[in-house]
Amino acid sequence: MRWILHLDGDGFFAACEISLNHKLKGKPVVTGFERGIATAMNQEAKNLGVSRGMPIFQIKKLFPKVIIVNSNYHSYSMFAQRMFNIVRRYTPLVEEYSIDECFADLTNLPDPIKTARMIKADLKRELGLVFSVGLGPTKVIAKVASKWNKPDGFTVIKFTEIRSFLKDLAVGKVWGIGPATSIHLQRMGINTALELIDRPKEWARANLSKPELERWFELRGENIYKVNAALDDKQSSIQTTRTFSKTKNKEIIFSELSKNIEEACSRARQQKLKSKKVHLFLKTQEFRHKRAEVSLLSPTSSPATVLNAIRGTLNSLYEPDVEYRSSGITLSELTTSENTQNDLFGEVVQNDKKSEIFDVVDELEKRFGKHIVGLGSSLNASKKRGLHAERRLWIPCMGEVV
Amino acid sequence: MEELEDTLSIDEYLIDNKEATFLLEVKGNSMKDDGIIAGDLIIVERGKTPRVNDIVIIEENGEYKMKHFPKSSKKEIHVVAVVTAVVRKYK
Repeated sequence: MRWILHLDGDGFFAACEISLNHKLKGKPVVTGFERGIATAMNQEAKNLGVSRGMPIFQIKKLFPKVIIVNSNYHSYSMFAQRMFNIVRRYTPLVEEYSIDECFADLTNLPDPIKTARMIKADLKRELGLVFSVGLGPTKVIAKVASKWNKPDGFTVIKFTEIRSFLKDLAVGKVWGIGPATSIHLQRMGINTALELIDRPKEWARANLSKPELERWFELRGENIYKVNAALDDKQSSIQTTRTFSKTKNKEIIFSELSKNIEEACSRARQQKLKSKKVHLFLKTQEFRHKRAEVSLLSPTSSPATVLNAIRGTLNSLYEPDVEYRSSGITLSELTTSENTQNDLFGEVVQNDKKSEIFDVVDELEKRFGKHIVGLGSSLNASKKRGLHAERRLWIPCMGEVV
Repeated sequence: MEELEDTLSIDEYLIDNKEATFLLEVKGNSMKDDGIIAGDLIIVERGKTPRVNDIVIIEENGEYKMKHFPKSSKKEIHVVAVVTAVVRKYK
């Protein structure tokens, strides 16, 4: 059984604004001034009665105390990138689903529930942002879980608990079941998600459209949708670094690097991943970075193979009279060594990838306007950049200090 | 195939935890004796556990202030972030 994590930012845009401007804390905050409608709001504003999509002029009139700010998509996407990177500390199997949502596959980690708690805590402590967290056997169930107890929720739905969570859940609340489908299902006497999954398979195959049938499987805890991690992306990698007492000794440095490699490879194997590219670095006492990249002949997660591949490179990196203080390894260009289990469910599972991507784009545009979809293409552009290409690090400014 | 590089990256020199790092503009001279003056940009890390005497950011009366993290304190100090570097441009 799989453990899929879903993270959903609570009032994400407003939360980013507050994280960068502490004077807004505790006050009702709404974003979207420039668009004339509320694009996000914090709990304080929600409590007053503000909801997403409400016209700004109306908010001003009804709730004069609400602080309305322009959206700043650049800083929201910066926070989003940081959120994805924090989740990637635990697994490279991360799907950036939207600017404030992601999925991650925690199945092969030793303690998925504890990991989910740690991710939530990191996000709160380091970004100052609150996320609702859902953990379940499928993506659709993970979505049910993250929605269950918003804001600041943490909900785990085990396979055996699915029925009790779906009992009172209106079928239209399920991810991907829209109003039209919902009416169609209601005509067939299905009002709750539980009523849907209680219909037998023959009935489901005969009466449901392909996307509905996929939901029928997913709600029953059977995986149809994979976490679409962009594993070939530069962002997806396994990194380990170690700081050691400063040394000039090549053997010590080599053994530190080999510990890096063992750890990185062990994490790769744990998640059934193999790497095609190794990146190694040495940091000198003067904070100079010496780095190198080595392509592997074929994808591997074997430390011996990696170690052999970098041996020569280390020789050319190493300078005898320099003191070193840390080393690190990054495994990138990951591929999964796992076979997909898709064929279990027959033709249903011939998952039309393209249509799923377009669904995502549509959903994004629906939620955030055309603006946001541009982010996707800029991600693509960053993918094409080489090792030497300039990569800017953006750091958000939190304001002033006296 | 391999590519070699030997550089000092200012980003990596100044920053340990990229995800938790933020900037603040310094407006006052309360930390003058520590070499932080008005006009400087400081780099801070959120969520980092402060050690005694670290320069930390606290929130007081709706304002951010810099302070040395004390050995002990009568009232609880809520640390927003730990100062990890200072940036000053002369030109």
